[in-house]
This record gives sequence, structure tokens and C-alpha cells, in this order.
Amino acid sequence: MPRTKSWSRSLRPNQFGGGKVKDRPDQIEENQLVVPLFGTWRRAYFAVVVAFVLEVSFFYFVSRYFS
Amino acid sequence: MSGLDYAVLFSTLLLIAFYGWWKTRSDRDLGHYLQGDSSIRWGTIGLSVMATQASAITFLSTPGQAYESGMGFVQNYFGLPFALIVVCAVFIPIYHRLKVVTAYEYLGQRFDQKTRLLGAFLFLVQRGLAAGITIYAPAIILSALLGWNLRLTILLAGLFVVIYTTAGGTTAVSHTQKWQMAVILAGMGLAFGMILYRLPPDLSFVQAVTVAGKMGKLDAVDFSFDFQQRYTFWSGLLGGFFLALSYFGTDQSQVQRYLAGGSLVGSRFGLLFNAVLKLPMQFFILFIGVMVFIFFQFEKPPLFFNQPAYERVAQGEEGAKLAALQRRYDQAFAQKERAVRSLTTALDSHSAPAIQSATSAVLAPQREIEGIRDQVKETLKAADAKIPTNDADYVFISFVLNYLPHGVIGLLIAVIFCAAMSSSASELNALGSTTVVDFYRPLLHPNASDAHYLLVSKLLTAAWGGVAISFALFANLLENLIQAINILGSIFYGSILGIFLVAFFLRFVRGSAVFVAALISQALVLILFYTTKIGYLWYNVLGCVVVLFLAALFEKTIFRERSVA
Repeated sequence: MPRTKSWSRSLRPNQFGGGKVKDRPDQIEENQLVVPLFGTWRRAYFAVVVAFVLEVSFFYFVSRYFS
Repeated sequence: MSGLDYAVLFSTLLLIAFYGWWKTRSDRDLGHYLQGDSSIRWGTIGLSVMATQASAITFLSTPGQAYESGMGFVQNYFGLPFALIVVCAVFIPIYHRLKVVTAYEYLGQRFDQKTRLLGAFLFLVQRGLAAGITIYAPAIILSALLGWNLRLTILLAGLFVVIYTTAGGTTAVSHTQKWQMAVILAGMGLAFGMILYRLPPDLSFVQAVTVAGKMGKLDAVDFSFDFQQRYTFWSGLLGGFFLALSYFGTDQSQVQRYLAGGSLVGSRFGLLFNAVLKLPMQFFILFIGVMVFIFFQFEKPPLFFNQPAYERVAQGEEGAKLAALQRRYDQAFAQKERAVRSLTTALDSHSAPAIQSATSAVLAPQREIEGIRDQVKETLKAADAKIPTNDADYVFISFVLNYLPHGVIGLLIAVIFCAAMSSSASELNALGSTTVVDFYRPLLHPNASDAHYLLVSKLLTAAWGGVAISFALFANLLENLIQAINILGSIFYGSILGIFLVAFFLRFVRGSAVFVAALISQALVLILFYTTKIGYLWYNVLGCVVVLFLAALFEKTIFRERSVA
């Protein structure tokens, strides 16, 4: 038995056994479905995409307007 | 540099290093050393992630790139927000649920030990070299321009960070990065203000930006499909996506930052903070370079920004040739300065034909100056093959040293050291942790106590610091430092990312198939790197796709038969 504390317990070899994988992304334990500021993570991600579109549009505008 | 500059520089560096030590002085917990504690919230994580990515090279090279080639480099980061969304949605929940310390532990759990070791090994090679460049980059430039001893500068940049990173681990790194980033942002904001202040009083900000646009420095977005072009919207979006996905999802120096604190919300918000703010930050740093370019339309810049190298050659046999080039340059600059002033007058008139004519009048001497600079570079190269002909890394720091007031110079040198320290702290922290968690513990000493692992972690962090400093002491200057870091990363990241994507999405693939696929992919990328001129961002895509394809193919063919037998 390992004598170490919490961090090393996560180091047990292949705790899923025989390479059978249960760690699918869609099995995420979403215990924080209510996300501060945005409500849900989907909305937070959407806000990032909107910010990206606005930022690139601004860069493009600056390029074109001043050239 | 004056006494005031040295006082600002050393007090900033010492205070931050002392803060890192003070914050963790009584902490003897192995978990805190490797994974941080609950005092690390999303704001600290966000700044810590940003500080890890933004090294000294960012603040030395990026303005110089904009000075030379305009704003196009910002496209390199276009894939980053999307990559961070994928990391938040897919990578982080798995890392949190499995409570891994390093990203490569996950590979061991999903595949097998050899795949875990391969991922960790590729990381150690790539990041170990990069850590040396991170320390070397500011040292070579500062020592050249300030006349400091190169080795002492490397030791100054390296030793502070080794001490507090070794002493305090992840918690110290995250908390110091918060203040380093504050110094960096304050310093760059001040530099921007000072550049605007130093522009001619009769030149408005809008005129300055318009002149930059007319001279082709503001072209930030290129939608062409040219694979040989280093930065386009598409290469940035696709190649940058894979580069960022690999860097943030699988590079332990970043994984350790956002897993610090142990909160899933904190990790995700810290990364989304970067997803939104990274592009504006890079744009701002590039824009500073463009404003330095505008400043040097009215103030004659040196013919070659690495002045010590230039003067060394000018005193030798090539002196007469350089003097002749200098005279041609002086005439061309005077002509260009008059043309730029005519352009600003034309802009005031709002007459399109006048503006077009004045723009052409500016571009002709500008092209002549570029031609003269090329000849100077050839002359320097002929005189001494070791002189790096790319002086873009010297542009911003030359401006700082020659045109900003004392005190501000000290602060901006502190910015460069803070940036170097924040990046190398993350790298050393991650290198030490990966060596302990993925190699030392499973292979050499599986059942030791926490106190033993804590001691070994500290020793290995210090040892990696020694490796990085040694590499920096014996490295040769690379053409452009920020590109060197990105190229180095791109060579290895594709294969590592491929392994992780197979782990997440190709659930039928097992360890041996992905292990062989990753080895082949890595060999292929190295061959292409040495034999072709493909833009380096594409290595990320290629390496990753080859691993995904071959792993699936091998699992269905070679290794399927083996498992049946």
C-alpha cells in the first residue's frame, strides 16, 4: 500500500483496468451547471466566440480603414 | 542605465521573488508544492497562464516583428480561443476527475506506461530546450546593449527564479506570476504612453496610425491560401488552433497552471480569461512596435539595431563599405522624412489623389532604405558569419534605452526580466514535477513518503534550473527568438496532441498502436522540418493528423491481429 497522501493516490496504474476507457468527455461530472456570470458553460464558450469575431473584425477594420 | 534604473529593476525583482518565498515559507505540503493550494483563484490562474505564455521573448521580439513586417503575426493566435474552449470542455474535466498531477499520468491510465513515458519524454526534451532559450533570450540582448557580462546576465535571470521556484513550487509560481504580469502590463502601458508622448507634437494619433497603414504596417489579417506564407488567417486559425490546443492541453507548464487551486470553475475561468484577452494583448504589443516604427519616421534610427555588432565590424576592413552605406542611408532617410511630413499634410487635406501621390513618395525611399539595410546585413555577415543578421529583437529595447527617461528604463528592463522569470518558473516547476511524477516515482521509488517526494521534487526543479542555465550559457543566438520557441514547440506538439486526441476520441485504440504511430509521426515531422520549407504552424496539424490516422490504422490491422492471437 502506498504511504503517500492524496496526490499520489491518483497515480495508481491504469485504474480503468485493461485499457477499457470510461473517461468520455460527455461523462463529465458537471456539478457546476450554474456558472457565475454566464449561467451555463455553453453560454460562456459562446461569449468567447463572439469576442473572437469582434476582435478579428476590429483588426480587419483597422487594417482596411487606415490603409 | 542610471542608479535610479538599477534601483527600480532590482527592487522590483527582489520584491516579487521575496513575495513568492514569503507566501510559501511555512508550506511543507507535497500537494501544494505540485498542485498549488486553494488560495489560487481564477484571476490568479488567468494571469498565471498568461504570464507563462508571455515570455521575455514576447516583449523583445514581438514589437520588432511589427516594426519589420507589420501586424500579421497576430494571426498566429487566431486558433487560440477555440483551442481553449476545447481544453475547457474536454481536457479539464478529465484532468480534474482523475486528479492527475501531470497530463501524462492520464496517458498512463488511458493507455499504458510506455505511452505515458513517451508523452512525458517529448515534453521534457522540448520544454527543457525551451527553458534554456527563455533565459538566454533577454540575456543576450540586454548584455549586448547594456554592456553587461552575458554570463552574469544569464545567471541573474536564472538564479532568482530557480531559488523561489525550488523553494515554493506551484503556489509560489502562481502568486509571483500574478505580480509579474501586473508589472508587465503596467510597464507596457507606460511604454505605449511614452511613445505617443515622444511623437512630433504636430502629429495626431490618427495621423500616426494612418501613416502606419499607408506604409503597410497595419495589415493584420490576410485571407490568402498561400501555404508558403508564414502567417495567414487560415494558418493562424487551423495551425494556431492545433498549436494552442497542444500547448494548453498537453504541455505540463500550462496544465500545472490551470489545475492549480483544484477548482474546475477556477481552471475554466482562468483559461477563458486568456481566450478573450490574449488576442487584444498581442495586438497591443504589436501595435507598440508599429508606433515605434512611426516614431522612427521622424527620428533617424540606427542603420542596424544591434549597434555593438555593427560598430565592431565598422572598425574593421568593411568599415569603408559600411560608411558608404551609412551616407546613402542618411540621404534616403532625409528624403523619406520629408515625404512622410508631406503625407501628413496630404492627410489633412483629405484629397485622395494627394494622399496617393504622397504615399508613393514615402514608399520609394522606404524601399531604398530596406535595400540598404539588406546590404548592411550582407556586409556584416561577410565580415563575421556569427553575427545574427535579424536585428528585429533589438528594435524595442534600443528605443527604450535611447529615448525613454530614467526610471522608466529600469521598469521596462524589469518587465523583460519579469517575463523571463514568469515563463521559466512555470517551465522549471513543470519539468521538476513531470520528472518526479512520471519517471522517478513509477520507475525508481514507487512507495516513498511525501517528505521524500517533496525533497526530490525540489532537487529536480533545481537540477532543471541548472540544465536551463547551462544551456543558456552555451547557446548560440537564433535568428528570431520568438519564432525559435514556436518552431521548437511545433515540431513536438503535433505528435503529443495526437496522442491525447486519440486518448479522448478514438476509444478503440490502445497503447501500442498509438505509441508506434506517435514515433512515426515525430520522425516524419523532423524529416519535413529538415527537408522542406513548410510554414512551421502546419507541423502541428500534420503531426497530430498522422498520429490519429496511423493509430486507428494500426489498431485495426497490425495490433488487432496481435491481440486476437
